[in-house]
Amino acid sequence: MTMLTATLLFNLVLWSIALACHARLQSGWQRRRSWFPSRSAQQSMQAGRALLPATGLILSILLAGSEGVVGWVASASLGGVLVAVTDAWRAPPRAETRHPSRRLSGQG
Amino acid sequence: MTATHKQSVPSLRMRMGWLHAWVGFIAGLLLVCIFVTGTMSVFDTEITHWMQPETPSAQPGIPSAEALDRAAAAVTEQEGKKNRIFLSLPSDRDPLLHVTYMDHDVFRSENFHPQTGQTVPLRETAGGLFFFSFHYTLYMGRMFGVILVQVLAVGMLVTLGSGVIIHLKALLPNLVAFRPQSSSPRPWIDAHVIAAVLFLPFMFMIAYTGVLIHANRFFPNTAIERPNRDGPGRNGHHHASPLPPLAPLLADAAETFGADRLGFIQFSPKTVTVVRADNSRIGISRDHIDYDRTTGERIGLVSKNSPAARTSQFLGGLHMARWAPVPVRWFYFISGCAGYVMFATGLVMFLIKRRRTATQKNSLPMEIAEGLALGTVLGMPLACTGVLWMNRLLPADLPSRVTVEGSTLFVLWGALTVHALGRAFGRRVMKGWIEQSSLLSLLLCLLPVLDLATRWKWIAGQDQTVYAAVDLTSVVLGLIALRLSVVLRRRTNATTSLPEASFSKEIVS
Repeated sequence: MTMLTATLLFNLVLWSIALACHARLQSGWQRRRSWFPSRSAQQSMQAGRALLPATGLILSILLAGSEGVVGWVASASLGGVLVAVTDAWRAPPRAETRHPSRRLSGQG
Repeated sequence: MTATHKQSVPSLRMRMGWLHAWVGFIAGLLLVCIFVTGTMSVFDTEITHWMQPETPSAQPGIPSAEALDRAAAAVTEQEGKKNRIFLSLPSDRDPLLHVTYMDHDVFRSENFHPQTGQTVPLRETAGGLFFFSFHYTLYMGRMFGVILVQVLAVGMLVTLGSGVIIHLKALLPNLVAFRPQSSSPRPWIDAHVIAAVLFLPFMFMIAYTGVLIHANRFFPNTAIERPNRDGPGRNGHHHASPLPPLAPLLADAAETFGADRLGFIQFSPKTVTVVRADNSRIGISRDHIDYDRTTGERIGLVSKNSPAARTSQFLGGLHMARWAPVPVRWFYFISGCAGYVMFATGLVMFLIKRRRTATQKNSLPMEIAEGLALGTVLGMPLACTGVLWMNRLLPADLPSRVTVEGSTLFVLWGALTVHALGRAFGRRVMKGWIEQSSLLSLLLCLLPVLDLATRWKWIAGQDQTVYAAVDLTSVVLGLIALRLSVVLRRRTNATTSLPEASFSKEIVS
């Protein structure tokens, strides 16, 4: 396994955790089941979603240079898809009403 | 400014919505095709390998002196009558030695085993290069086609920019929101937004670098560096001296570039040039070492290192992904699929919205738009799959294989678009979606069966990695198409009671 592959997998894990934290912190917006983490848990998640990708970026640059940065960005996309699909499967939305800011009126 | 006047002025978001919808739809019809073939081009070498099932196993590395001598003889034989000849050196992705030349605008190859030097008879095929050429020219010529693709890429940049403005408020909060169980069109919107937002860096990068790669087509008077080559004349008649032994040249070049970083060799009447492989680094530098054709002495290393050249090399390399190892290549592939999903869902949402707001529900433009959307979103992947099928069904020794394979794409694509338009004019466009997605799933899921049935003669002793990867990917994509077909059929059945089943009614239900 090359260094680039290793950083890719590592970043995929870090991004997935960070975006899962992000999704949890947006549960009200996404109209998912009520989920109220404790204040300290929320703070940890807020820190995690910023620190984990930052750690991944630093490691990618150190271990794989500019190719590592490309891999870091790519892992974010794939990590996001993984979290979105997992969340959709695990916690379907509760309400059908549409948030006013998400109406289609702005899309022509 | 009065309050009434303020109300009548559309907001920036609404203006961008109009731009996003119309530019996205018009450009999107062709960008879907460009993304499908571009995604396939990420693995163009592997697809060519799959399309030549006779390919034997071989170890990559510097070829033996015997193999190089035989290849050099083939080069000499072709040199008198052909314009451009080059010798591709073995790599991890393609372990054979290829003498490639242009024959009436068609690339042809003589193939040699890199260790034994024996000729490897491979069937002629359009190969992965066919999809690559379509991706950036649409087969409309290297001038008009490339410019059209670039205009479409600019359209993509406009669509992305306007899309970001429309979605700005919910960009971060809805970053990973996917609600497939919600009522339509929410799942379509979520799929569109997830594909666009999560892959936004990739989308911007691929569109921007795509425009830059052939920027000189837009600005033909721009000063660009061209190699000072004493190449053969257009009529192909020139007096070239015999080639020197190639093995010492490669050994010398390997000391500079690295043994696994040798790309290909070019020949001219006075020089032999060894070019660095594109997989050496992100930037496609095309650094090369020139050798005297008569004596074999090293003339010098040619490398473009100006900041502008290096930036251009980097951006071009980022787009083409030739530097990328296999895992990164898969990321490119998945990102390409995301681009396809983004445009496909965008086209569907555009039609749903127009159906809802149209004053005349079944106007001719609406039906044409629905037919064209179906003909490209499902028609193009079906046509590409058809090329793979045709590759294996045609006799291996058919002289016009390359032409027939290439024609298959356009004939199938045309036929499927006619089918789609027929369904749209008959106001049964959803039936067309179900039929084409079912056919796509059938062809993709059965591709491994076709592969095994037509490859069993050579299967022993072959490295199965490429074949397994293509077959498995095909099955996965086939199952996704099957799922789409099932969902659409279920929703159509639920709306059969509607008096005038239309695209939007069927989808929105």
